[in-house]
Amino acid sequence: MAAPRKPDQPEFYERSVLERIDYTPPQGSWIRNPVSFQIGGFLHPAKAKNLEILDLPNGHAWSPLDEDWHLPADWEKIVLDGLRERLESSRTLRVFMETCVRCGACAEKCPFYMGSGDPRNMPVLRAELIRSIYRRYFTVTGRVLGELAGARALTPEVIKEWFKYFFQCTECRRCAVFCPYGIDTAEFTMLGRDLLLRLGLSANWVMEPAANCYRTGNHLGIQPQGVKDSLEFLAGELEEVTGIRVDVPINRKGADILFVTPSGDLMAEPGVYTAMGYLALFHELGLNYTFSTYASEGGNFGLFASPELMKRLNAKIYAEAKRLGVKWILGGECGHMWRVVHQYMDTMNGPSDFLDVPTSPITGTRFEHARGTKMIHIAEFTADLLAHGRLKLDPSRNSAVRATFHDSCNPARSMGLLEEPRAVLRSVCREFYEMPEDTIRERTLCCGGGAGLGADENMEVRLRAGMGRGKAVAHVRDTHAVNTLVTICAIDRATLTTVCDYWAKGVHVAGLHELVGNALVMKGEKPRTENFRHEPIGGGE
Amino acid sequence: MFRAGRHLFLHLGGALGAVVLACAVPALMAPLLGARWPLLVLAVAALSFLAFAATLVWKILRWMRAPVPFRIPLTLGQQKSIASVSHSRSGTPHALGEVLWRMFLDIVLFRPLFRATPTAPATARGLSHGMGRSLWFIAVAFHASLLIILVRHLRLILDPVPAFVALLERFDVATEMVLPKVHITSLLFPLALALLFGRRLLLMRVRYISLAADYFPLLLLSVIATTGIVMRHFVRTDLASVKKIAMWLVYWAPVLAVRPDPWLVVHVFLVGVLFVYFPLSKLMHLPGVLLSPTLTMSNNNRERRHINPRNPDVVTMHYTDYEDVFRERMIEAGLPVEKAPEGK
Repeated sequence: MAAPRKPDQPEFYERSVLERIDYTPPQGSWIRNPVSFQIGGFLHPAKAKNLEILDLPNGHAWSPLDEDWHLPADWEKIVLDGLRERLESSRTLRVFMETCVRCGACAEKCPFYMGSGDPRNMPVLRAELIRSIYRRYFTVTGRVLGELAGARALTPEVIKEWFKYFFQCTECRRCAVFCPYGIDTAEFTMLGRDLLLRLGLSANWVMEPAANCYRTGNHLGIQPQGVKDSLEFLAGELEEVTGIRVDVPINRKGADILFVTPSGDLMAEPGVYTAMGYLALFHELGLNYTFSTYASEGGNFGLFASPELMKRLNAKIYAEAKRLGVKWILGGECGHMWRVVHQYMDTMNGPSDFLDVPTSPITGTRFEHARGTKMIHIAEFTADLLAHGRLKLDPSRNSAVRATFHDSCNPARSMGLLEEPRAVLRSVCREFYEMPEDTIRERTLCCGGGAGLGADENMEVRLRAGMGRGKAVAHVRDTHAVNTLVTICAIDRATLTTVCDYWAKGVHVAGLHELVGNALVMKGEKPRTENFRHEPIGGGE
Repeated sequence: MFRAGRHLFLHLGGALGAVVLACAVPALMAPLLGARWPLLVLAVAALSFLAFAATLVWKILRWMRAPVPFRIPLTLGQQKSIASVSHSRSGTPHALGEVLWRMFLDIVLFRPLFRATPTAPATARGLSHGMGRSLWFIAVAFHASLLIILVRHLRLILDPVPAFVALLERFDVATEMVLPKVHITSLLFPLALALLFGRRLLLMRVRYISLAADYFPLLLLSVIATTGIVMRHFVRTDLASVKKIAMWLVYWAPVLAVRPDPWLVVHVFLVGVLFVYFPLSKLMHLPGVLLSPTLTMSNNNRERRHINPRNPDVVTMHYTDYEDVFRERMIEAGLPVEKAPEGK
């Protein structure tokens, strides 16, 4: 007899039930409607030990299902002082706090609202969860008129509501695309999570990777010898497929380039195949590079906790580049890592004047657009190689692949990295079909599991938020027999595997450089009969 | 039933009450002043404008005082990176001119609302559809006609009337079959107001998020528009007199005795209320959007370092501390270390 299905497994949820969404808001005012927690709909609380590792205050045992969350004695003061501090240090927040006209243009653009119908998942209302407190304590009208001015008192109920809804947002910024003022709900989600963290409240799926990263250098908590083992293992796998033993330089002083990628790609399928692609490519180019164990994480779960924590974790990248004496930094396929690298790193931890402008040793291209931060994306690097015809490729080795491309939210809407990966994909795979226009590029839909939401215990939330993406994938599967979703994000590779299995059965997820590695013709290789996944190439399916 | 309607009752009722109060004040005051009623009009106009300007400047300065912590442009197209890929100048601007062009499209032409195409049927099964571009049309109609109406009002306070105002009047014509001629904006503006109000009431999710602060300006503008249209087309307010009153304010010319006009008093008083209310309310979206970092910043993040004057000092894990913890294991694995293990 099959084991009973549990709420942390996708099979627990009936498709038809998830698809039956009621968009009619409940009766009454949202300010007065209480919040409830259902199994499958929230993340496990952060363990106190993870906060301790990071020297963060107020870590304690609590559960969203409990009536009493054991908030610290002066919790109201902590929240309001924190809010004041953030308002004083951010024009962005001040402007976003006061310019929303509640037109509702963002409402049905949010993948979490699309998939749930829960009105608090409308981006405008997600922001109002904080604005209502702002009005009550920081504006005259709110203080005097109360609810009539959209203001409300700070109560433990508000804190519970914040925990629920700021962990039902992946900070994907899709709402901002349609907002006439460009109000970025991610700013409110970040603010809400920051204030919660001051009370010792966060998700363990955020704080454990963050604590790991602080201690060991990566989210998975892999120790230095483990990083080496993983990479050596992947090199062994690569040798099996190609017959070539590649070098895996680690912590090597004097390398020209520091390569930083999410640690997820060193351990978990299907990310490991992408990591094999990197190893193959760098070997074939004879690149003078190194991995680092101290900076063995490109991703940054601090981004999902507080700006200070983000800075603390990110600091390792420049510090390690300096210690190893490299010339510039190359970054792997990752989503939120690139939000941090592109929009935050130089401001937080720069200037990086000890580094050189990234320059491809193969093509001689100077990447002027990165002359400040000194770090470029692997898709930019590879697209440049291809533009100069410096890679020998055999796309027929990917002939079993009928691909579509998922734009990850961060590279798409916080960086503008849209065409480089497509250029690479077209070179390595002959069959490439785009999903519908309103679900790709700057309007790309959500994987449902970014920003620390990729756990299992909140499976219902993830399946709902991933519904739009899943259906768009199913659409190209049905119309173009697409069988592979290519993406350049380690979180996507994990979360979209779940989403595709559920909403678009038969489509699997691959990284861009997995396909590059498979198509790459290497000097001295043996005739390839199988791809990195040990599937026969050329018509395996 | 009461619970169901409580939210609407509170916010729509509150807004309605405020507007009724705002109408009652001048209606009751004007008769008391008798022949000196133009003074009320002038005082309201002058004081409300001063309050508007002072609060607006104070608010914007308060915004400006806080630094922008990070450069966070919203990239809506291809970035500028390698030579083989051409970048989207209007979606992901890089140079200053491109930023201004993006701001023009996004802020002046409301491009974000224009992007709201209905969800593709292929992916929409079971998903929310939204209203497509209808809000874009309403927003453009509302703001454009409001702007044109404001410019047309310049002829009441400027002498001689500037050429562009006269020109605008010549083009803004719906029909000349009746006298005075009917402006397009006199029809479009009330229509847009009605649509904005209607969608707030009828779209349940928009009603759910609507506050008194959303109904109040719409109701206020409705009364202002109504009194304006009544003055122009029905009671035929003596424009020459109005101009004389306005001139007094601008040129300090003596006020001549003019026929009392309660419509004008209410009209001007409510405009005064709007002026005072503007900088204290969501109407600040006008200056706000000009300071929105997502729409107004260049995507040159990796090229030029953005400075955050409040960049916090933080404690980090230094490499030496890391190596101290893992040194033995690193040596065992053959990884290079900075410092030899102690006692060896």
